[in-house]
Amino acid sequence: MINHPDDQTLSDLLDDGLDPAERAGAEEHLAACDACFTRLQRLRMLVANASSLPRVMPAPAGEWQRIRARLHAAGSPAGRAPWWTQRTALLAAGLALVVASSGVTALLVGGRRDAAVQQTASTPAPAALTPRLAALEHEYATVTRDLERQLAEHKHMLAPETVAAVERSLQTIETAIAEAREALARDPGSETLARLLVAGHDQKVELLRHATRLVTQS
Amino acid sequence: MLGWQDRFQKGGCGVPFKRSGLDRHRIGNEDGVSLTGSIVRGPSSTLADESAELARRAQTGDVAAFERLYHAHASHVRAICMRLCADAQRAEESAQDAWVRAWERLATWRGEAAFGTWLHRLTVNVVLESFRAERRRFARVTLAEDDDDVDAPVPAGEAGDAIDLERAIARLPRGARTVFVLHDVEGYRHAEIAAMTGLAEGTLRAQLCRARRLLMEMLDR
Repeated sequence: MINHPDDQTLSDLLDDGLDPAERAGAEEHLAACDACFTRLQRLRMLVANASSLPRVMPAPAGEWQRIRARLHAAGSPAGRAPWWTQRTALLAAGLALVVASSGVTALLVGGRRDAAVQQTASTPAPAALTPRLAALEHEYATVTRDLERQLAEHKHMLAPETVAAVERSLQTIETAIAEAREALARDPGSETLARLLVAGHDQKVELLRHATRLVTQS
Repeated sequence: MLGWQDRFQKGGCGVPFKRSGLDRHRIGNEDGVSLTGSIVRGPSSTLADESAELARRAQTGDVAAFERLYHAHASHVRAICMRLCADAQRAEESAQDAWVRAWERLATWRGEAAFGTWLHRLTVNVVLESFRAERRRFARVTLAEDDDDVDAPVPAGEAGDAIDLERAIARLPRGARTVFVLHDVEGYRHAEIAAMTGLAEGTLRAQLCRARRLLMEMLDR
């Protein structure tokens, strides 16, 4: 009885991933079996064609403008240390994870910050933070308006429960954004609150994107 | 009797047995668009040098320099995102996320690797992170553990429905597609893919084999 090598063996042979004994056995078989040899050759052609695919595809029109709008939100990379070394960034990342929880946000805006948050808030903020944030919020508003319009046009395609869930989540995020904005009005120098506000907007954009994708793909 | 490698060479499809070792996942080191807009053929140290210079300027907050980097590398980023995502809208979102991430992380580029190589790896990671995020969201609803469960099944197609390789790749289940694109298209090694995806090497090899088998079936129709 002939034991033809299975596809996994041929695939591993192609990647030089067999141990010497397995390789020798496969090679011996391939030298005598036209069917397996042909299959290996086709496999090899496939891999060669894949590695020859074009490395470029045209980027969509207007992509740079959309990226540039988001770069302002990200701030300047100048002098920025790797994020994992930044205490502020770590705090912001942690806060971003809970931004959807208005209860946690309420703690922040209610003046009951813990020591770590207070330490971050005391860090001198860039002088132009408030105008920058205002410009940033305007850009977020433009992006979310487009997404909300798309969603409104197609939301009849979603189940009522899904629409309700999206609206509840949006309400929660918008509440958190509003509270962060109010807290910033009282403490405009707080970079932590600024990051919290931005994280809220990011969450909103992400939620809208996801919901829009659901309707456009349904 | 001829050995199988002798037979192969005699049969001659001209494809080397082992990968060339070319650093394919280095954006901009092969044919590409130079920063002045002209097509660059072959290894382009000029493009790499220009990119490095622009990246250093962008690190200081120079958006114009970053825009030129974008125009030099956008088509490469788009290709990676499109092949991994197999969905135009999603690819566009991922590409935007990758560029914003690149801007945020520019300080971590030290010039040890070419900017294109760094950008390529970062883009792949952004796409894979989005897959993981989607899997987490999906898992909350279905408790699905297999990444492929979030993908539509491979369409059966019709007899005689010949498709090209690009379209066939797009039809692969996500897990198999990811491994195939990273390994066979982009040229990453098994260990690198295992590190990026968190897959065990055995799983990775099985996914790669599955992808190749499915592709051959689709291309044979």
